[in-house]
Amino acid sequence: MISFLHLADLHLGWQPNFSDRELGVEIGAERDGFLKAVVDFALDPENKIDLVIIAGDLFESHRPVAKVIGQVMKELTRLVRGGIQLVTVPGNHDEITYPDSVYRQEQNRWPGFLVTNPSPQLSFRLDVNRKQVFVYSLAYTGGITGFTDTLKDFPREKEEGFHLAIFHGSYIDGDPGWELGTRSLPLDAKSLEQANYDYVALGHFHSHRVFQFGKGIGAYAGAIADKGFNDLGTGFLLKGIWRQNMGVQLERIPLTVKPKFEKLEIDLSRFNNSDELLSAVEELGRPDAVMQVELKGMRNFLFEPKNLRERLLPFFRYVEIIDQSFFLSAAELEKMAREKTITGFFLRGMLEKLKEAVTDEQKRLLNRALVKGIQALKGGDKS
Amino acid sequence: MKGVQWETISLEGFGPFTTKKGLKLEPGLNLLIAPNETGKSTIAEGLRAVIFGLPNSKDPVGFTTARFRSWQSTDNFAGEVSFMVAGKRYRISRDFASHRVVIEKKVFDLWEVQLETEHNPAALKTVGDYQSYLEKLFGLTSGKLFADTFYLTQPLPENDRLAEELRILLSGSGSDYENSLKLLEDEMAGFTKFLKERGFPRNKNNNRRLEELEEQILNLENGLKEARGQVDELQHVLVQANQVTEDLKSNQAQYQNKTAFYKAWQEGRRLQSRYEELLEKQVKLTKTKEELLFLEARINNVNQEIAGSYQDFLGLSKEFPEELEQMLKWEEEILRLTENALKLGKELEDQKDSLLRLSDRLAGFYHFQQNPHFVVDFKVFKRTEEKFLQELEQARLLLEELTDLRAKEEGKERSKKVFLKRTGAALAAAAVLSLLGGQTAGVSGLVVGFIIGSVLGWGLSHLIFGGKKAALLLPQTKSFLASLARRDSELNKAVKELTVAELQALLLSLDYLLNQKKSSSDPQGSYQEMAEAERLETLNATPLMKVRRELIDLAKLISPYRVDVSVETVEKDYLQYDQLRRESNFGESVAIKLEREIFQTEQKKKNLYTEINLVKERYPFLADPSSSEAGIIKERWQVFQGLKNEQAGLISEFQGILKGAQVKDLEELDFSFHEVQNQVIGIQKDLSDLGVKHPGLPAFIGNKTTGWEQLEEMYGKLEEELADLSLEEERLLEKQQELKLAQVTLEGKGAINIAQGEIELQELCNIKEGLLFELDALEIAYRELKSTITDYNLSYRERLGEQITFYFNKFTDSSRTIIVTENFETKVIAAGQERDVRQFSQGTKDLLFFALRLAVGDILAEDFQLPFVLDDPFLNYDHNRLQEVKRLLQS
Repeated sequence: MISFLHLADLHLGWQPNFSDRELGVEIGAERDGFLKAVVDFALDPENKIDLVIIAGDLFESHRPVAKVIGQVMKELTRLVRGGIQLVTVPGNHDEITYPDSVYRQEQNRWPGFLVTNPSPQLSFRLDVNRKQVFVYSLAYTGGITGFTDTLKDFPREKEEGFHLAIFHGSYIDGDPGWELGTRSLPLDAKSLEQANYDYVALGHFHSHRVFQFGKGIGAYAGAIADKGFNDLGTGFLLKGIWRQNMGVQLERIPLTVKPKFEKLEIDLSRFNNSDELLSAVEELGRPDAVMQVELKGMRNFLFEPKNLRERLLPFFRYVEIIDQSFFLSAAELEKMAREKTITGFFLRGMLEKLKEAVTDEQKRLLNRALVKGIQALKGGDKS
Repeated sequence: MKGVQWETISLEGFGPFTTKKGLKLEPGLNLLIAPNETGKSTIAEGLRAVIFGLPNSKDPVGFTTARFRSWQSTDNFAGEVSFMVAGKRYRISRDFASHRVVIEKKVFDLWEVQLETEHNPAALKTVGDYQSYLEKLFGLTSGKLFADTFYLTQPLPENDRLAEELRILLSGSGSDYENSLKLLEDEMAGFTKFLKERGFPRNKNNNRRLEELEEQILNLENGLKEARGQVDELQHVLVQANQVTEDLKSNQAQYQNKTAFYKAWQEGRRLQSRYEELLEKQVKLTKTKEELLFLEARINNVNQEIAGSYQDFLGLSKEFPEELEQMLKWEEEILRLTENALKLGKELEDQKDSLLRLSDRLAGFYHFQQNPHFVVDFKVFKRTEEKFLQELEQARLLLEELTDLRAKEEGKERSKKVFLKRTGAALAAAAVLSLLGGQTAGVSGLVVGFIIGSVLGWGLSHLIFGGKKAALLLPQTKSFLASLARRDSELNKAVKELTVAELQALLLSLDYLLNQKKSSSDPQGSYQEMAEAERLETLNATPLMKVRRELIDLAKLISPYRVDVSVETVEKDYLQYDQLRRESNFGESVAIKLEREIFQTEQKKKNLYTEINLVKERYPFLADPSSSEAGIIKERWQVFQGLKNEQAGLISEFQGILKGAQVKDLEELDFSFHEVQNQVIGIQKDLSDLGVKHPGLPAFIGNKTTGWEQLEEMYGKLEEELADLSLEEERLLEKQQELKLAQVTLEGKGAINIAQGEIELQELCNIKEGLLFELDALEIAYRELKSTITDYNLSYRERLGEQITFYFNKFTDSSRTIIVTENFETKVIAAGQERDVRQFSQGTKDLLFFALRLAVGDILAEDFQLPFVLDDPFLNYDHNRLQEVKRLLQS
């Protein structure tokens, strides 16, 4: 039996692109701390981890700052010194291609096994718990790694043991609906299935997914930690246990990772004015909250999201406003449109356009135009 | 149109009305007159607030709860309005804080609730029912519209703001629609500079957010494109570099193998060459040994000869050769000195003989030797004698003349005689004395003698012939005699004592003497004779005797010459004498010099002998008389030196050969020979080993002719191959350098992270999309508003003008036409001419605005009619105007 942790897309060194750069740096540094929690978990004897797999994008960049490199080296070294085998595969964010890639710079000091071969091959043969582990992988290297459309060449030894493939690439069964560049390393589903690996440890897509590959299975571990409001982490570690002739069983181990990027939706139809909205959001505020507030629904008052955000900032560690709300209902607007003022005429014209609008996007645009018009007629944004 | 009549209004906790205050309104015109700050305007605002609601807001300025809630603490914040609509009475009650509103209808004196609801003018919910009711009652639901139509506040606007005010009223939003358009344009201009394509006349100059973003996106796209190219190219370069490195390694391996083989070949050639050298060396060593043995024998012979014959020279100090040489020089010097001494001796003898001869010759000139002034004396004698003879001749001539005179003058005979006598005496005395002087003192003696004689003669004659007579004599005679007398007194008294007879005898003697002198063949003898005659005649006269001796002495002075010998002869003799004397003196000095030189030579010889003896004392073997001569010693020494030189030469040759053979001695030569022998064997072994280690190498020792040329050809080919490999290495190194350069150049470009860049690009695109969305919205809003204003203009401007004209003419009782321009400015046409509004009085202008407000109310509230609320709009009206307005309003 071999227990392993399948990690991928840690993106250490990432920093949110906040307008407050210092806060971005602070939050990034806090986020990087989750590697220590992962290593602590792996080193905990109770968890009986034998092998740790990092399936790419350990770093956010191929050239992370020295402090991040130092911390990562320290933690991974701790892991290896703790008797745990470690295999690291460079990804597309920390691509080994770049001459100043951290993997090139630290290649000789890298803890455990670092995959550097540019084409799929048996990268390492490990001895874990007296079992042979065959590690098949590649480190995508621009200009060298060669394939057309998708990667189809998946070697496999015939010897008995745990045949483990680690790829930082795109496994999509079917048409992905978008163009996959070579750097996203598209993996040919059929070839991968035929390769008959016991386990395919995947990285690149941040959502956790599991696939069946012939007799074996494969999985995207998913990004554990949040990487912004639109890239929320899984919040769990993916642990695998391989048993001879029984394949791999996966288990999710919850892991608390800070900071947490929170998203909040607010329906504006229950507010009479921006003051009420402001008060309501203020009540939700926490000093440690990193929050994105999405405003939805119908409202009958005018306001500017950026002004609202400025008012809310003191109540949060970080807050941003996404306004998806609509100004007034069509019926209300129609009533207002009856006035024989220019405003009434303007509303009538806009309402006619809204009626003609087909898509939501058109409606949203016209509503926004209506709001901007009304705001202008009222002498500008005073909310 | 529905008619509405306000009946009551009450407010509590609203503005200055802390407690509930009510007002009853009558049909028709109601005038509220009260001091400032007592709540007139508040009542009007309260009417609007109760009916249309008061929005919650912290804004203390706007139409908000914050503005109207009484600052004095009161729980109630409410109002109530009752009114008549179409003959029915209604009441609206409102709690401003909770927005609770109740509409009641009076039915049979009872208030019946029609609607009780929450009406927040700013909220959406529950708005529908209440607003529907409002619309049913009043025809409008907007408080703002109400304010814009039926509520005129104080004061009326200034004339130049009429158009703006009109636009604000028509906007229905409280803002000038022109400003609204400008706001939209400005906001769009904040997004993009390309406004032309969005319906504006021209673009802006500088990039705005959208352009900056697009530029950022473009840069990032380019950066990504470049980064992809760079990293891929870099990898290509690295692959090539790896290949070149591999090629280089392969080439270097080949080169090393070939070089090793080549070096082995070279080593073989070297060993082979060395082998031949050693063989040659062996032959040379053998020959050297023979030469050395031969030289050794010769050296031994020389040594024996030296030991046998020149033992005494052995161990001599190193100064010996020099000393011997010096001794030889000394001996030669002695010999030379001896010869020189002999030569000098002979010269001395010759010189002495010569001196003897000179001495003999000088003897003939003894008188010069005895009298160094001989020539002078002789010359004195000769001059005295010549003078004496001349005087004698003159005396004789005088005597002859006197004789003649005696014959002619008898009377004077005496004087003449005396004179003659005196003259004759003087002459005689002079002659005698001259002769005496000439004999004793040469010529000078003659002269002195003559003078003295003359004086004496003259003196004697004076004495003899008397003074008076004598005074008649020639002055010369007298002088002569006087002198004679002085001389006589000084020199010789004997002369004074001469008698006349003696003087006469003297004259006779002189005469005789003259005769004798002239005729004598022996002048010397004549003087002698004269002396004898004098002696005979004047024997007893002492002065004469003295003169005579002097004369004799004078004659002796010029001896051995005769008195008749010429001065030239004497001078010639003297010159000869002087020459001889000089020669003699020189010869003597030469002789002395020669004697001195001879002496010095002898001294030198003596010194040299001393030196030689000192040397001999230092070298005992020189004591042997048979070999002590330096020349003999030198001959031996030279032989000895020859042997020594031969010995040294042989030894040097011997040593040279040893040195040439690089050995110290014969023993070492033997050792060297054996060593060479061993080396030969060693080379044979090395070559054998080399052949084993590098198969293919030729056998370097043996018969060269067999395949040797072919081997040399192979060797040459090997060199060419090495050169080719070397060139290839250079080419590869150059290529490697090029690739390194390309690599560092690409690395130096610092490619951005593609994955991050793509995410960033996506984010930027999202932002751009958002911006475009906003921009599109603004464009739509702008276009729509612009279009709306145009449409509104077309629909209402003309009608508005008519309504204003209607009211204005009614107020002013005139027939002017009011035109509203496209920009909603008003123009007045009176009597067919356009008049500027500013030309009117303030009251007229106020009426114009009032008419304009009423016209706007007509337009905006087309389907309904509410009572007007006029809050001090006629502030600027005069009494007449006020009365007119009052009349108008009442009508």
